[in-house]
Amino acid sequence: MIVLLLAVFLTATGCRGRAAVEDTVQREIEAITAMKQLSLVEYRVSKIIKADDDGAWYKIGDRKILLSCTAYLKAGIDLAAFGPDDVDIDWTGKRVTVTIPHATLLSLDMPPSEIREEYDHVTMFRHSFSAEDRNALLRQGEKQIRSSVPSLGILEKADENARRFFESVFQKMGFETVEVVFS
Amino acid sequence: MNITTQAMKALLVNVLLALATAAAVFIAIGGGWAVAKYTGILPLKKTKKALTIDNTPITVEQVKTIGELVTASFYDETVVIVKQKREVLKKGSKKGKDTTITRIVRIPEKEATGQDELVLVQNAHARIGIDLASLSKDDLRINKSAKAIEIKLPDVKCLDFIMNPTDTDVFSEKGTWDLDQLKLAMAPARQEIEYKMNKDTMLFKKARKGAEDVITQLLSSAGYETVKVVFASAKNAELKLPPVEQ
Repeated sequence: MIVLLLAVFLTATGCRGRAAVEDTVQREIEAITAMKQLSLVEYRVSKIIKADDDGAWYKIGDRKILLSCTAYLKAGIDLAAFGPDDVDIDWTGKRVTVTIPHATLLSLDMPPSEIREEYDHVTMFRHSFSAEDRNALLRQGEKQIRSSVPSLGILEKADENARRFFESVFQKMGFETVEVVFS
Repeated sequence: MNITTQAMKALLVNVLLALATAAAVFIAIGGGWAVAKYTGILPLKKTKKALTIDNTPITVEQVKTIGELVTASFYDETVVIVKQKREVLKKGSKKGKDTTITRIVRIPEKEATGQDELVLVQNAHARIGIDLASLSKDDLRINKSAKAIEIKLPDVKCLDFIMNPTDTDVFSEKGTWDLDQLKLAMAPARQEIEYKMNKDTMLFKKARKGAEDVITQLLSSAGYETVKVVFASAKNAELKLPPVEQ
């Protein structure tokens, strides 16, 4: 009876210890995310961020600021759902049909080292631009760059590169005809 | 004449009195409003109208074809507290104008308060994977009759380390901080998060496994029954099949 109780106690302790380790591991895993993305084109873009604060009627004077920034946009396809069902092979005709999703924007990188303050003018009676003010303006600039992605042509270019990539890969494997279809 | 002078004097006094009264009322209202706003005596919201930027065009400077397989991402955040003080190098004044020269000195976090202080909550995320653009024909070996394929992949690395303005939150700010000082304040946050990322062996292991799975799946889909994927940094990174014919 004592042996049985001891065994239950040790098992329970072990489980609690293992649960604590699993909890730590789970928290660590949350900082890491698995993904399967193929980036196929990178655009380097620049933008001038312009703000003119005339202020309310009771505020005397104005303040203006010009910031320049560079952003790196990467577009490509998400292969998370890509599987054997997306590849249709005709061995006799040495033909393959590959179905892939359309390209999307995968990352936008606006490095702080490439942000510059080009001009800053603050008249008397007005506060100078704070770090928070500048950061808020830069956030708006980042948002504008992100929303302009559909008009830049990067997604079409990424689709074209995806087509060429899969054609190249399957041709190297000996297929004579490679057809890439977008889902 | 005396009556005119007296009338003029009376008028002047009245005008001055009226101006003084108006000034006093204006100061009282303005001062009262300022006190109410900044001390919160009255429920007046401290509203600050957000300054918006103009919609300026975006210039595409470069278009580059790449081939990066991203198989893991790492996210972290940290708090940065930076303090600085102004040191007087040379005090002076010339013709009533202050010509004192000061310099800004960063001081350790634990020193006394009362200095300029900036507190940031900084996020960052990194994208880990392999750069397929560096693959060459020598890295691929095929045996069509045996339906076997071997491929040597470059090792996983950090492809992007991203710290955008939306990842930066200015939590508290005392004193004047310009853009260069804000960028300098972000540097230790980047170092800390990069250090944590590089120390995380599970991250790179997961990325390597993900890359192996994607490539294996892709090659298996093409009909190869035996797929061997090795990484250039591995001990047994040699490919055994003969090279692909030109």
